[in-house]
Amino acid sequence: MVSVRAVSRQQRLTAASRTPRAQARWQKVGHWLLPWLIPLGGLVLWWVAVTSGWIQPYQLPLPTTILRTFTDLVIHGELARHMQATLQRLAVGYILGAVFGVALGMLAGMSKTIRRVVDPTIQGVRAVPSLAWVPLFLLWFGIGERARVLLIALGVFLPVYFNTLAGVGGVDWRLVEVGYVYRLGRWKILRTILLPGALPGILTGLRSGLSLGWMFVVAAELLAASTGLGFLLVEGQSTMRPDRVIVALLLFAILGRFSDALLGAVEHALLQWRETVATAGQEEGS
Amino acid sequence: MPGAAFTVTHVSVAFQGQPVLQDVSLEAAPGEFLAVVGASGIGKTTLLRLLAQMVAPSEGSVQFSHDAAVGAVAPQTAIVFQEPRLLPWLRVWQNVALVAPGKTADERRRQAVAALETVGLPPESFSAWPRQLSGGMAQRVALARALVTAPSLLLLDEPFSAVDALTRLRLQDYVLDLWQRYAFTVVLVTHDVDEAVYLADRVVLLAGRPAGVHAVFPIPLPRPRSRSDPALALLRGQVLSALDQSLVQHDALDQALSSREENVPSGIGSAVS
Repeated sequence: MVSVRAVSRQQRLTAASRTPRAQARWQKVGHWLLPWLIPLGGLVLWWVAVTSGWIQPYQLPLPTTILRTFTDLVIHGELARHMQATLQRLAVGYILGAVFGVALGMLAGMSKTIRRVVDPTIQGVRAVPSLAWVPLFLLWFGIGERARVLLIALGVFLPVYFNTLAGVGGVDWRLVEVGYVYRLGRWKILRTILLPGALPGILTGLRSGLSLGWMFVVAAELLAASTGLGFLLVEGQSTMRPDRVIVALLLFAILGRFSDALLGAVEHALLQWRETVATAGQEEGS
Repeated sequence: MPGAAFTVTHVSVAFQGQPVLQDVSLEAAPGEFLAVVGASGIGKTTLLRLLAQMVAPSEGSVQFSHDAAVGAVAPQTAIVFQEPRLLPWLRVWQNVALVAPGKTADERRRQAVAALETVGLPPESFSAWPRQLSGGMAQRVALARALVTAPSLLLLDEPFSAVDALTRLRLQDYVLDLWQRYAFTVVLVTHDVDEAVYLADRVVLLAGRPAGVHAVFPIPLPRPRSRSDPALALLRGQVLSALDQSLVQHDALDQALSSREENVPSGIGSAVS
């Protein structure tokens, strides 16, 4: 009885030591494979749908056609021109909106008086869905680069401002008190206590500002532009070139993802001091 | 008294019309170690904030040591709070260097390192983030941050109340050691009577509502003191019974003021521990 039990236990042990390893290997493969399931499946479905005639090529061209369109656009320098236009107006608008958002958010967060002056107005501006400003911006600034950049700046400004304001408000008062007790002076308290304390909020604002910036650059280019990836979208639609539309869409996806990852890396570097759910446990291991 | 580290004369402090301290007079000789005890919420911290010039008296005056050459000068005041209050986004040494008096960044860094060494922080923790420190270690850094300013007046607001018992005893001896080495004036607010009589030259009992100086107990024991000295136990008993009495008076007052409210059971155990 005893020996039987011992043997079965040993068998169980060897079985147990083999199975989890195999399981782990499969889990690893699955881990990398799973995210590709839907895109690859979609691609196959797409191919089948077009070649079998369910969908007409003028509505959805083959993936290979899109690849050719892409290389054509690259070779002729068209794509570089549109990308540059989009990225440039996004960058200028983003920086403009972010700088004003952080500055005004900090000021309003630190001074009750300033908050009383600016906050109700900004709340009012926010109450209007941002795209509804487009006609007014076009009337005021004309159909030009200025209107587009300012529209993007407005879209970026709002989330940056509100998150900065919330960030300053969330700074532990007891830390600010340390600054006062040790007579650090206003500028040093701002630089070493309030700004870093508000940083998590500011970065949240900058990130949602970025996604709104992309939204607004598309809006601006759809409505009034002759360059840019957004223009490529409208132009593709009006000339019945779905391949160009899809190239533009893919580029928006790639650039948006890339810029967000870039900001995420900045965030990670700046917030090292913080222990979050995501970073917990890493410290103990190292 | 001329030459006193500070002189508090008939000071009252009120918050939004509510008096917290009334007619408090207190002074300390330079280099004296004062402990302030009293029931929780009585106004001990307010007295400390008064000395840190974080609150202004509504009546009376607070004067600091008079330097004949310079005139009235605000003392170099440093404070250690109940919590370490380190800036979580600065490394340990940067927290100390932030308030260091040095002219160049390099000098401030050296001062910070020296202060951290003084409080016995292990060097491998110097460039850690504050969140990686234990409570006792973080409180040491807070102490180093106070020391790096070369204070003439060191204010301690229950600095050891949040650390474990053993760490507390060690930190007490550290403070004692630093005080003897640098000869600054110390005002320690505490709810721990043992701590007060072991460390201080005089123990000040705050009581009443609004609070005033109820009694002052000199602790005329030579140093180094032994925690098990019977004379210390005797003095502790005196301070405790005075504290207890002040609490009983409190309760009587509370009852008289609000007969509807339920009486909160009081005693040394609940108020002191």
